Amino acid sequence: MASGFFSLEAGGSQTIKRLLDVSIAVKDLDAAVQRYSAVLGLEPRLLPPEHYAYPGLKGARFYLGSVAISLVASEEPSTPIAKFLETRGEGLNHISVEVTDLEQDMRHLADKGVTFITDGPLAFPEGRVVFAHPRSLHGVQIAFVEMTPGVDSRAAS
Amino acid sequence: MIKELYGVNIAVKDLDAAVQKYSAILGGEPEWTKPEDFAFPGLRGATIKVGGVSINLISSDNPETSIYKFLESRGEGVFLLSFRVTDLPNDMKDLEAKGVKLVSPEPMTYSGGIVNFGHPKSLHGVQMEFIQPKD
Repeated sequence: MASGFFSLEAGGSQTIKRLLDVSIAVKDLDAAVQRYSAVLGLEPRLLPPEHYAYPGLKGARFYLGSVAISLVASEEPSTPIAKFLETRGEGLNHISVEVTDLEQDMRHLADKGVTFITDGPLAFPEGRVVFAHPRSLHGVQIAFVEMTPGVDSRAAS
Repeated sequence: MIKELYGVNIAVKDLDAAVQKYSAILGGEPEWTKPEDFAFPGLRGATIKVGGVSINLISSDNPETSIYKFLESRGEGVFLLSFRVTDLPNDMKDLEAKGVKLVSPEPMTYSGGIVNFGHPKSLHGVQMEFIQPKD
C-alpha cells in the first residue's frame, strides 16, 4: 500500500501514533504522588530533573496500561510549570502524543495552524519533544514526542 | 479498580472549529456525540480516537452546564480525565476512603453505563470521571 507522502499531501496524515501521557502540574509533589498512587492503585516511578527537556522540574509517573499519568512539580519560579501553577493553580498542564518524524510532523502541524513554543525539538532522555502552544490548540498544550527506539520503559514493563 | 484512561475531555467554545482542527492534527475521523450519550443535558461533542484513548471535544450554549461555567471561568482547555473502573459502587467507597470527594452520592446513569465524578479539589486540580461501561 502506498504510504507517506501522498496520503500526507491529501490531508489524511496519520502522524500521531498514540497518546503517551497526561501531565498534571502539582505544588506538593510528595502529597500528589501519595494521593495518585492510592487512587490509581499503582506504584510511582520517580522522575529526576535530568528526565526533563527543561531544567528545574521533577516528577513522578504512573503507567496505566499504555498511557502514563505524570505529575510534575517545580521549585524554581522561572520554569513554565512554576508559572502555570502561579497563574492557574494545580491541574492538567499538557498531554503528550507520539509522532514518528518530528521535523516533518512539525511542518505538517504548522500548516494546520499549530504554533510551537520552540523553533525546533528539544532532547530529553527518552527522545525529542516539541511543545505546541495551547492558544493554537483550543487551550490544550500538546507535547509532540519522538521516542528513541527501545527507551520507552512502559514497553519493557 | 481503575483499569485504564478512557478519555481526555476538552471544553471548547466553537465545537465545529475545534473538531476541524483536532481531526486535522490527530488524523482521525470525528464521531459526533449524541445528547443522550452525556450524563448531563445541554452538551454537544465529538470524539476522535488516538490509539485506544478518546479525545472528546465538548461544548455547551447552556449557562447551567458545568462545561459552560468552566469555559466562562477558565477558557478552553482540558476539563476532565475519564477512567474506566471495574466496579463503580465499590470503587466509589474505595476512592472516598482515599480522600477523593465525589460529586454524586450514587452512581449516575447514562447511555454508556454508570459514572461518577471526582472533585478537582481532591485530585490536585484535575476533575476525574470514573466510568463503568455497560456490559
